[in-house]
Amino acid sequence: MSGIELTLRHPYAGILDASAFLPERLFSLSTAAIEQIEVDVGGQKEALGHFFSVSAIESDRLVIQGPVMNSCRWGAEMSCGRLIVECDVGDEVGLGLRGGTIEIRGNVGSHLGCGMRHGSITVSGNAGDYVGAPSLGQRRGMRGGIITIEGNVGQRAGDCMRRGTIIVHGDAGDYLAARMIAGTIAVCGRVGKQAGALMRRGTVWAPQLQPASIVSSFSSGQRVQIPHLALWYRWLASIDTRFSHWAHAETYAHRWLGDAAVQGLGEFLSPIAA
Amino acid sequence: MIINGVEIEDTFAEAFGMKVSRLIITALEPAWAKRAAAAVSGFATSVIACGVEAAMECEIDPAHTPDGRPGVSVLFFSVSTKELEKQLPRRIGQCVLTCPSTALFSGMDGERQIGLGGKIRYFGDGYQMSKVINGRRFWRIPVMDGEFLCEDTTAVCPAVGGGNFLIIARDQRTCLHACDAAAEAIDPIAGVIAPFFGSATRSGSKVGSKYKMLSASTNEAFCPSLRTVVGSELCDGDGAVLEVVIDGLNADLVRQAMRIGIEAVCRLGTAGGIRKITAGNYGGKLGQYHFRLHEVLA
Repeated sequence: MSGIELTLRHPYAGILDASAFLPERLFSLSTAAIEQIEVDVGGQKEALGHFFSVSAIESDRLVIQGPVMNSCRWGAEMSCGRLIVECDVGDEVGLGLRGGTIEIRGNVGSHLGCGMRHGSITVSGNAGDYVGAPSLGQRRGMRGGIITIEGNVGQRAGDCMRRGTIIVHGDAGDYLAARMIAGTIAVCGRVGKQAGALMRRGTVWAPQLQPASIVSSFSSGQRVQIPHLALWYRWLASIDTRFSHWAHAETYAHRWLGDAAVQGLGEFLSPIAA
Repeated sequence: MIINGVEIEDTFAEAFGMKVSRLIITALEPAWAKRAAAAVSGFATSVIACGVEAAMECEIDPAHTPDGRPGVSVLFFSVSTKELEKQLPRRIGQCVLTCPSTALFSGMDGERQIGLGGKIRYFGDGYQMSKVINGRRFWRIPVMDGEFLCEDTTAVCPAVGGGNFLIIARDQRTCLHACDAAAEAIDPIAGVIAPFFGSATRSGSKVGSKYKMLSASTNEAFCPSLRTVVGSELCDGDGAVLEVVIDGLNADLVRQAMRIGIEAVCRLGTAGGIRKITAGNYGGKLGQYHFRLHEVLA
């Protein structure tokens, strides 16, 4: 399969709805047909070719050259293939993602990976609020897949998260893992306030966690051995060499259980030496 | 065929298609992993009454276990997937969950999966947690020494069970030594187990019995004490017979284990009291695998 590159011709006014830019859809069309696809920009329908030049490239990727900061829904409901956006983008990237890979080489807005089920999203910059949260009108957040953010995330990352993994290399904002149902979140940097509010189950692993960040209805921290951390560390090391020093780490951690206001089986883990 | 003076009878071992699953047990110390393996593979010598045939396959270096701790691999063979599905949770719940510091992992891949941790998680009484790591689901069950970590499911694959050979020796002691030699030779082969303790059984059986409630009974043709009163397979001077039984992941492994085991016994030779090697079969009508001794040793 040959790839496609879309290059923005000129700046545009309004928000560009990019939900039509899916590898599985575009790869089956000719260049001319792709240029005829209707795109919603600020409520106006225009042909894609009006905004983007379309060219075939030697790869199996759909590559977007911006800037397209005023855009949303990149990779929405995408089921396969590889989408690469070479600039900052707006909200709802990977909305309901069902498979494939999305790489954002810049920053993203809010609601990244909302309601996603499978596949992976990588962001080289920062992400806004509600990463992995429910899509609008839904009760449950992401149900599978993995989101990796090199920078920081905003508030309510993992809100109502049902399954899957979020890895944040930077800091996380307030209300991390609020209303979380299951799944795993790793935060390598600092964690904001009120983390774990109404958290039912699930795990937050955060080496730099401060107890003051966790909502007060969690149990006090206790030192425990968590066997599955051995598998978790090995997996982290296998997907990212920056975690390689964890591969053979001890499986002891400080553990806070809560939120007692609801089911109370969510956990915050902060690794410690044996 | 004669090897080192020992006659190899021109007959065949009759083996059966079975189902197998491999589990990996890890623990804080190797001794505890072995204890769990011994417990979970206890009372698992024959599918006739135990439900499964099981034994420790090998020890696993910490570098090669899922959680980086010392481990052992245990193979479980049964006549059907359904029977394995019934036996494994029962044995794990009573023998591995109960054994301090252990964790349990699936040790093989396959399309057909049966429940492990998914069945025994309820011991956690609502405090159990599941965790999906790299696409595999694990159950964390709180216990008094921390948490018991157990993989949700394990794979079941086709296998071969019931490969065998019979050692006919001058006397009981000689026969025991021969079995030790066979067990030592077979033990390093990955993918096979000899489910009887010490690799051998003295109660080789035939199908059926004069008593209707028994599906198997003593193989009188190989009982030295009955040599003069039944149609015996034994000759003057044959003092004891032991049967080495072998289960394997496939027919080639069973064949290899039979060859290596028989060669180890034959090295003792007639001077060591070994008189003959033969094999157990049911006329070729029951088992789909026939291992002819002369072909195995060719």
